[in-house]
Amino acid sequence: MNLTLSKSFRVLAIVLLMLSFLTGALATGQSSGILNIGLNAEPSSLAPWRSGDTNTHRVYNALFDTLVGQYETLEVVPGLAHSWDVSEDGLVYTLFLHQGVTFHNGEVFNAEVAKWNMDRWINPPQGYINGISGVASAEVIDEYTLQVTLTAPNNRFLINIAGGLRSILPPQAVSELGEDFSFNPIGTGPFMFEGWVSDSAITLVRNPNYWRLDADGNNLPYLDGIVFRTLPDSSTRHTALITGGIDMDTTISPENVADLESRDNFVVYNEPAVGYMGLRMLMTQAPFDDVRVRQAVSWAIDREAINQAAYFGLAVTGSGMYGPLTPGYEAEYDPYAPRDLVKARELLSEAGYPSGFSMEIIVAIPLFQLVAEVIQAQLAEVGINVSIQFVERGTFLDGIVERQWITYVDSLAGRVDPFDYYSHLECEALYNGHDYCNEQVDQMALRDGLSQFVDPFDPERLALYNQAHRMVMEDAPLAVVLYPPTLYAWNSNVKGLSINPAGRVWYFETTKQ
Amino acid sequence: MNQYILKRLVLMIPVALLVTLFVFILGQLIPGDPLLQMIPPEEAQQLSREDLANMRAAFGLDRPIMVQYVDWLSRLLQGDLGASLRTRQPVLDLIIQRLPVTIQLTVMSMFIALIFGIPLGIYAALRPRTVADSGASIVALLGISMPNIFLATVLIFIFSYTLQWIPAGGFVPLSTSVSQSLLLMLMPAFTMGTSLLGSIMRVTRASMLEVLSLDYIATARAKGASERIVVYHHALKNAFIPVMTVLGLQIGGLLGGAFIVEQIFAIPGVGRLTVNSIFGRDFPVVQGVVLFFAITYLVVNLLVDLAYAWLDPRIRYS
Repeated sequence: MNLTLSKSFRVLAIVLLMLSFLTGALATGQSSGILNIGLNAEPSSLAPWRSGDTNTHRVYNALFDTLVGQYETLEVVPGLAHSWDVSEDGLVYTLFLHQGVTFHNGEVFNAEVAKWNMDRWINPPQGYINGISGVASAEVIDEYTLQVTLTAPNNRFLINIAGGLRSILPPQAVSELGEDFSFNPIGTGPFMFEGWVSDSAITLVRNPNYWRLDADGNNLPYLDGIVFRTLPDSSTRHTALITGGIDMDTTISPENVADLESRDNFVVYNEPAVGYMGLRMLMTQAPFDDVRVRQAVSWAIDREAINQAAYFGLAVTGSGMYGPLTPGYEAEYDPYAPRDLVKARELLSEAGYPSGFSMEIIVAIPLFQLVAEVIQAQLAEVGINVSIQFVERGTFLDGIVERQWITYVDSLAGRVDPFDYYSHLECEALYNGHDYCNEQVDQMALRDGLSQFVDPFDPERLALYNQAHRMVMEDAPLAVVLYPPTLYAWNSNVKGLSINPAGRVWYFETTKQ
Repeated sequence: MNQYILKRLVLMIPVALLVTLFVFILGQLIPGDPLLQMIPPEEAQQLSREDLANMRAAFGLDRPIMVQYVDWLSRLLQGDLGASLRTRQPVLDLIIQRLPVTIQLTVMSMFIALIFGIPLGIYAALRPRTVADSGASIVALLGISMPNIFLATVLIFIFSYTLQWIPAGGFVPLSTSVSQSLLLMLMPAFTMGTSLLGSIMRVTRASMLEVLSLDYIATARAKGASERIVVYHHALKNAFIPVMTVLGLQIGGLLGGAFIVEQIFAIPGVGRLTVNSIFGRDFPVVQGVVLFFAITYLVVNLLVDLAYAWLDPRIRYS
């Protein structure tokens, strides 16, 4: 008798369990699952004031929210702030914040919390990497309204607070944990931190109380969790993607793209990121102190050949800093293309180097060594004798800052506004390895980011930046080669990833069938 | 004997410290600023040289080298190995976190090397200058000369990519799942074990050959002992001493040289920690790891010397 009773209880329990699974699935209306993402390096820390590399941002976007965002395009859209007003003089931003948002540990998000966060960016403790400049103060107007006053109009203020370094953090948890927050991060984001096996995997689980809803009013996110797996070797990562060990690879080697595209069940994402790769030249050292020599180098480069050799034809080439997704991009402006060896030789002769000269190109990654080798062959055609030296990254960065490298292959990513293209060109800037100094460009492009225009996308502002762009390219401190693509691949059963022109990814509406 | 052990242990300390001093100075001399690495160029828009100087002072990196070293030393005496520049984690915690992983890999590699290497060596020694002997030597040579990168890639290609029997990389702690943990460690341990296997086999063979030609072996055979007893009881014990030497020397290599294998198979061991810290100029971590390796190596060598005394009663230490 007892046995039968307990057996029927068990059956009942199983049926109830199955029903609850069913209703759970119906409620979300979408398939769930755990998304496994492969990273080529582990974030060193998950505290936005400590770590800001690309891989860390991938995790930040799952754990945290920002006040505003650039989720799909470079246009700033609401985040934790659902709307905002900007004063006539462009000095005061009033942000209206979402209500009913809580952190993973239960702390409530409101204007006080937003102010606490902003104060830390305005006056960061020593060693913090997420300070913000040009902001005078932040004040709480009411429980869900924050007013921010700038020291001068800055039309990129909203863009500046959209990035992962300005993630909104919980004051209580941060005060209690201090630096331990790096390994116990807490945010308002769609996923919560569950565990971190050092140098191996970071596990996040779904935040059941996430504030965002989809267009039909369903709770987001759809995924049950995300696991970020650190797989430093590109072949291992590629194999893991093929065999299902990971569902998404965030650093694809161009040579593996053909293999992926030949298979039915993978999606390859290829968009030119907002950034560039090129050869920088130190303008204070002969022969690069002569603009004609610099221009000659740019004319002598065959960009498409480099694209084929190093990027398997996957990149978009160009000789200007702005790529196709840069605001204000002018497709017809390609100052040093098509390749013109005659012109290059002419310029070299005029400058006093009719039979060329010798130069050394410094590189710090194998891909750029390949690029340098192609450039070496191309410049030989105008009599320039190139030698290549591979240095390790730490040495490389030092050499740029010390102005030790005369020419080097370098890339720059994440340029979300035209303003960002000029930071490496500012007089005396730390990473201005060309030692470029043009007061006019500084004045035009950098001083205030042309903040007389309230809207950073104002066509007049973009036109002025295009003028600055042309000024710089005339001076040719660098020979741009191409725009490195954002190359991702994922299993075709993964859908709904949000990727912006800087290659940043968000997972609000991601599903895995 | 106990006095001897004590003397050795005491002598370890200045040797280990000398190594750390050497590495400390070397670290200061090489180019590469840890602060530049912490803030990538993309995020360094607003960074000025003054900011860098301030940060350097905040981390205490602007003080004279000897001052920094003495400071590190004094903290060491209090059991504090310092904190990582990049993550602010205590260095000791970092090492302890990675240690079980590296130990597991090292033990499994040694196991594979010994399980295959010694029998192979004995097998070859018992059939000198035959085809079997040459065959075994070729296997050994392949093991020693095949680069880890190549072998690792081949293994992944065969067992992960093609056959899909084993996941391509990753690590699962023994506490989570013993079977998964061992499975994931199989290819890495095999990769590292094969080079050691080669050395073990060669040394075993050579040593066995030498011992088997000694008089006392002939005596044992003459007294009618079975071949089994002759080989395993009489010969192997004495033949084992050179093998121990090789093992002792190689363990240092196994522990530290696992970097390539750890990188390819994504195993979070001490090797990767070391190399990533060197690249990132994370000096406190590098110092801590070097100290750890130095002491480990010295301890292992002491154990090997003690093992000699156990294996060969003629060896006595004072």
